[in-house]
Amino acid sequence: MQIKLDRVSFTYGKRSRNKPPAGPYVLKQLDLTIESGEMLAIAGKSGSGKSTFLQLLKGFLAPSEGTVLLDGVNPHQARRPELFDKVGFIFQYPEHQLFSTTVFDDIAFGLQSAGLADEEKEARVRQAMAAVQLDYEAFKDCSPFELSGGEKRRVAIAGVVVLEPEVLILDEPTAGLDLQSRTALFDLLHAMNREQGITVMWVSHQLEEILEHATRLIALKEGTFLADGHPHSLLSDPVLLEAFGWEEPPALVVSRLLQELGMIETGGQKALAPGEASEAIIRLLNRQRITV
Amino acid sequence: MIDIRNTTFYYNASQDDEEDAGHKPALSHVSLNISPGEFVAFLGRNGSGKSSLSRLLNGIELPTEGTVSVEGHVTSDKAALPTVRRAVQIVFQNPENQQVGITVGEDIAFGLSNIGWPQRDIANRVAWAINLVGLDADEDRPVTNLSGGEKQKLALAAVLALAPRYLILDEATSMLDPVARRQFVATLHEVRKQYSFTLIYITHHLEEVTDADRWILFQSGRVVTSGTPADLMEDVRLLQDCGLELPYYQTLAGLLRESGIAVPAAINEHELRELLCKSS
Repeated sequence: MQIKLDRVSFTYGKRSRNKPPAGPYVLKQLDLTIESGEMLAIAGKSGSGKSTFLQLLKGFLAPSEGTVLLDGVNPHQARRPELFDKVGFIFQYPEHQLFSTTVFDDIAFGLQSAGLADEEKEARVRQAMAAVQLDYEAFKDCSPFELSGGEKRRVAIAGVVVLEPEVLILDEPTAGLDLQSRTALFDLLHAMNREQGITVMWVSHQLEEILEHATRLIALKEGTFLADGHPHSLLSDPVLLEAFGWEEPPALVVSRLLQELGMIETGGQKALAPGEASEAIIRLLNRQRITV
Repeated sequence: MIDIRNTTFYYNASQDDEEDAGHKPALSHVSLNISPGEFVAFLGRNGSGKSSLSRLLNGIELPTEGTVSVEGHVTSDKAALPTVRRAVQIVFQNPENQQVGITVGEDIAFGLSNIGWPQRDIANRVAWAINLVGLDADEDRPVTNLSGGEKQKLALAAVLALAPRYLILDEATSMLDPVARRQFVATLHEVRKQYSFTLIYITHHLEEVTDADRWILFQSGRVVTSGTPADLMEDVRLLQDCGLELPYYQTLAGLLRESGIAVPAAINEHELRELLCKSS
């Protein structure tokens, strides 16, 4: 599904008839197109408008000015709010919203109003659990509260995936997860992105995570997009780093150094993992030893 | 001193059949001492017992077996609990969960009046705490106007006002952006210079605790090992098993050292550049 923002502004201020909204504007004149199947990270400080922006994409909020188009249709104007159902939204710490007594019930909750037969419902839950790599038989009757943090989060994500979204929005999905759970979560997001073509958009404060997983980064500051592009080039741009108070990820610094020394191909941005960087460094040192 | 002796802990232990049902303990047979003034980090995977142990330290939960004592007061002794709770304070992940006041001043004053701090001195103490954490806000500022980082500083101010001797930070930076996170950690170290307390820091991010006195690694409810950061950094595999990833430069340094290249364990960009450029 294509998402398009056309000069979107937003204010929480009340709108009165015949008058333009009073402001202050949380989002200002945003233009943006997100195509199907992107892996897109959104960064910005608290208060930059990230959450408001995401809520516009899900239709929780309507723009004060401008339009949000899903596959070319403005769901608000066309009175087709159901179009927003194709956007799955996973809040920060989604496991805090688990409430049912079993994993199955929690995941199936969103299907209640869909009027499905029991078999269909079960099939959908099975599918969603498979998508988040939770074994159906082993987990369906468990209480969600007895699971580990990473498992709980997967149950919460399954509760959204079961609705078969075409776009998945996640607000800081890895906050509070350990290394293994973070890796597993991104394996999962990449798999859904690759195999089902689901667009994945997530908010992240971790530059390394963005560098490793995103193909596009949008940086929000004070309600405008300060940058939009490939993470490799954005995260090594001194002006942008300065504007956000970020430090350039070491992977980029080291890769550039090795590029300067001719140890890795120049041209194109590179972000070497520590293993790759150490191999290149060892090659360089060996070569020097030989020439000396 | 905090003295944890052979402590085992089950959530819902009151139900008789828990153990029979193969219910796993959150902590099993943990023994540990934490000395006054120490800076220790509790590290480990989600569900490894870090938070459970911190909840035992100030008596939110009581051990199923074994004892936890804080400066000689056993937490299971009801009469000692108020003393224990006052000595050990916790800042949690989400600052909003522990804020009760409408304004910054009210929020800090709430805890103070609760513990019976002399009424005439509360205003002074509030001002002291705001100043201590460098919160750029006067006490009339509404809590809802604060940014995430400021809210977490407020949470810190509110517990420090109570003059704890032990402060536990349970993933207190996990909801902050990188800038706010760095500021919060810097504030914490600044505060420790002026006012000394034992710091117990729970995190998944090793770069925040490289200057700790001791790392304590948890795995499935047990303490696997404890030691100085410098020693434990050598064991990359164990750290990974505990859900931890060394910062980029440390990982790189480790790999280079494995191949017999003498580099400092905490190599930085500058040193790496020198190593590579000096010889070329």
